[in-house]
Amino acid sequence: MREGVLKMPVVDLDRFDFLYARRVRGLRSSAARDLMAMLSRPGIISLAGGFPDTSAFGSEALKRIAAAVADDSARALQYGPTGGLEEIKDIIMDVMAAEGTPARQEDVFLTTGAQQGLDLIGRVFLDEGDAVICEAPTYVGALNAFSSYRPRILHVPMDRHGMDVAAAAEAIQRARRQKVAVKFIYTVPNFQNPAGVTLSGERRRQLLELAREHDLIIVEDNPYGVLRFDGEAPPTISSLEQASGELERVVYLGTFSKIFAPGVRLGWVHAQQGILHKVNVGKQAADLCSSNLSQMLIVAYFRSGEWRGYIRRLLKVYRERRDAMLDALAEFMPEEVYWTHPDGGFFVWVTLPEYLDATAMLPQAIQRNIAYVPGEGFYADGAGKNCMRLNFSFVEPEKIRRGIELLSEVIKERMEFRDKLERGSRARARRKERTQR
Amino acid sequence: MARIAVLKGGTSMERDVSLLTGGRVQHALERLGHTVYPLDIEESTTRRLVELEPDAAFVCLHGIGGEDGTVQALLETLNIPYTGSGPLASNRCMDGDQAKRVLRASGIPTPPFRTFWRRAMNEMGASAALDLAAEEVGYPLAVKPARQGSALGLSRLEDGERLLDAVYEAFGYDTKVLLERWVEGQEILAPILQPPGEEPRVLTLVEVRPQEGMYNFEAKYTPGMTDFAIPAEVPAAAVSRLEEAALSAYRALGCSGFARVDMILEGGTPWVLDANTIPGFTETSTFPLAAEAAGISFEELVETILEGALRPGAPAKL
Repeated sequence: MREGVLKMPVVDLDRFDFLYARRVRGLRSSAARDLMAMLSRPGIISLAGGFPDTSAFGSEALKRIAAAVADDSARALQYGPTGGLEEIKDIIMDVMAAEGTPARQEDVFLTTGAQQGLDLIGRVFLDEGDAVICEAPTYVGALNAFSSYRPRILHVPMDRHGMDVAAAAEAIQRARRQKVAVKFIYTVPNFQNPAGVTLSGERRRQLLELAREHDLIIVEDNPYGVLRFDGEAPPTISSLEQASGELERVVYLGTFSKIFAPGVRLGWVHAQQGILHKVNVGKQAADLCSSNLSQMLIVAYFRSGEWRGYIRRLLKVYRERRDAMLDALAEFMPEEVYWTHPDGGFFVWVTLPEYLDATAMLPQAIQRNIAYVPGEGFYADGAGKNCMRLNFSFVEPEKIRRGIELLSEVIKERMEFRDKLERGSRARARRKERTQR
Repeated sequence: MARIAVLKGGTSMERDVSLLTGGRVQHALERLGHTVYPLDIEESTTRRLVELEPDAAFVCLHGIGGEDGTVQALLETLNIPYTGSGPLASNRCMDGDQAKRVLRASGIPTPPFRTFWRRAMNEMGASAALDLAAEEVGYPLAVKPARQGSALGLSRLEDGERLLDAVYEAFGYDTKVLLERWVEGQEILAPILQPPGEEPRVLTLVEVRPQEGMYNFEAKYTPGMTDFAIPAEVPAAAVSRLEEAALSAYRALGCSGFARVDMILEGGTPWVLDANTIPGFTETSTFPLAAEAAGISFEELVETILEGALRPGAPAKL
């Protein structure tokens, strides 16, 4: 994952407010983050994270590949080309093939995590006030990356098949009528963070059509693509575009964070040459190049082909955890609560009754030693208050089960309390009515 | 020179501010030549304090656990002198309901309010009395958790339409909720310092202003969206009324050492909203800025507060 609940170093946010640029002056620690400060409590079961489980990799394996890299130490410690080393691009072509997307070496561009890809795309395409079409909810790291460029975020609702393309079309038309420039459609098509939903094959085709009709870019962010536990993978949007012509408007973002380790901070952009040229300029300004050392570690490991076995191991671990979460939700949650059933990835999205504010419930949950991420952070417009994101990839199955049991108790209490409040105030309203009569 | 434990961090929602306050106090104490032991609050805190046997503890905690009398009672048990107010005064000031009752009984103006407990809602159908309470308090009103430290769970209501929702939300953060009349006026803070053996005095009145173009409510609860005027720009006649109200509140609540009393000046009335027994001491916090305006450097401020804890034979705190 690209965001998480870590103890952040503390800085005084306001000291130089008069000097800060306008675009960051508004960036504040959210209410939810204040609440997250309480997560340092010992004994808490946190379903609030989003980390892959790197313990499965093992220190011996890391020593082996580090030794291989040390043989070419001068190069590992040197600057590298802005777009990445040739060898790692070959590896990326293999990984993309596994994700179902044909790729040419020259269309691959290395970034420092896919998160940098998001920032560079924002830098390349967005002027202040431009619009971006996003799913509702959407990846909070994308909202953060784009927000530096001060765009308008147009959220489009999702159902179990992913983004509602007709609603996306309406949003684009509405924006055009208001003379707002829509620049791109951002989607996480597989096991979306945070909703756990996968965009159906049919919708992918429609979305590509829509982008062609309005001459827009599609940013296809696919960090979880190969982490599929069940069913057939629909074709990636990039592969659909390439199958029906040239690589043109689909910008595909990949990452080694979920299939290897986030610690290497490596991801990539796959796009046509014109876009990559602009991205290249942006990357030179941002960090010149990504780490050679990291790239060579990846090459040393992926060359052996062992990674396929490693992913099979990860899949087994994550599937077990996903099942534990879905089973526990079915067993413990009251019937007014709904959740998604992801076929892969890291997250389940839970929807509570409309009146229940997941942020206001968090202190009670934390008191009972269970934590989650409240939904509103995944929207740019304050929606999603009655939703929460639960992570299963980083927590052992027994803890997941216990955590969901605790969480359902908190939810039930909150629901019963609401019931009590409403009953009391209804009694008052009736009495008032009687006296008026 | 003394050996001082600086208590900071904790698990309250104000952990971040507490770490900043603690860090700054720690450096000031070091510059003053004291030996400093910074302690984040955790399970081993008591054991560490017993081992260290510090001459005093400088409490830099905000919110539940640190500002509500919990740690103060523990320090008394361990016979470690500490800065600021005692357990009862701390607990009262943390709890808006208790504080306002003390103020009201002492004849200090505080906006009308009504209190609801979660238990009464659960077991006695108390939500039937919500409308009644709101009518008596009058709109616009604030709905807020009694033991608040931040803006979480606070709503401003113009009418009864969202009353139930606002009360429901506030109960997410506390078992006790207040409905309080919203008074409009200049927001004035009174940082109070009480050097050992002396009477408490207001350092300098501080006025909090929403930044231009910001709606008052939003600005007040968004950090960085407010500006300060030090000293506050109020008529000379109001200054003495404000200071008097703040000092009366400080005494009535039983505070020791230092505190910050928050008020609204509406017409000529200084309404006391609440008192903070451990206000923030960060670079941009109002308390140290007001001290500076009164000619007291940060080191002097820290030393004065510490002396209050170290002074032998000081009367017991409330």
